[in-house]
Amino acid sequence: MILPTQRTRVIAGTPIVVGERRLLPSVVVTTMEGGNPEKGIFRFVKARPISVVEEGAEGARWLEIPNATANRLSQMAGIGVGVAAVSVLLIGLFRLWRGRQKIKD
Amino acid sequence: MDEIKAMLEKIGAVVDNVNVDAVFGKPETTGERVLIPVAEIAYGFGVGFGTASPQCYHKEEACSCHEADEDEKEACDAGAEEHSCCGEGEAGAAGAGGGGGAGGRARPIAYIEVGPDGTKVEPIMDEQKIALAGILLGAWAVGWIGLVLKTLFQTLTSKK
Repeated sequence: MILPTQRTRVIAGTPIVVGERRLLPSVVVTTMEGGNPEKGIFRFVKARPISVVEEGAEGARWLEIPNATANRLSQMAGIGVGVAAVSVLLIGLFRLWRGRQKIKD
Repeated sequence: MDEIKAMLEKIGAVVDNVNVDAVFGKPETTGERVLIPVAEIAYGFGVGFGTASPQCYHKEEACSCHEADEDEKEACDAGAEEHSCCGEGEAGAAGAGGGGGAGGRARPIAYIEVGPDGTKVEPIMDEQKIALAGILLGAWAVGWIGLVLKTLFQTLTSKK
């Protein structure tokens, strides 16, 4: 069994010309492949756009292409972790308080 | 086997030729503006195959048969088709099989708008995924808040 290998490359695409502007896209390509040539192989490729460089009369400008869905999901995951952390803290404090009350009584 | 390997190499070459043009779509003109769709693409394939033949499959067993004499072992080691020490019951059926699958996905993540006032990137949000995650987050938060309130209630009642 050969362990899967992962490669990540940034590839510049074919420039897109719109009027006087020229857009140069770039994509990050992640390839994962593995298996045994004698028994079978698999390959998975994911291409995600990362930016566009705009070239015009005003000069060159870099435009990021955000993954809004992934960013929002990350924020929600962060909120979930935060809620859990605060809740665990509060539960711990309440239990500590209850324990001290029992000792006093 | 060589044909299968050649086929796999060809499939691999096709997958390797990931084209950036597949990510950035064809510009569409709408009035004074030009819109370029941008998508995230993912695709993959997997193939598996195997062969089994009686002489190969039972070679080790045949060679280690107690009844096998030296001549048979030598014949076995030399790759002979049949071994006299292999009975009918020991010989397995020859066979070969394989299978494979492939799939792909494209999801729009943004569009580039080129207009008279400049170029801007407008992200596209997957609202269905966000809504589902929101429901899960809501349930998660309600569960934790319930636990906190339960502990608080227990603390207050035990005090009395």
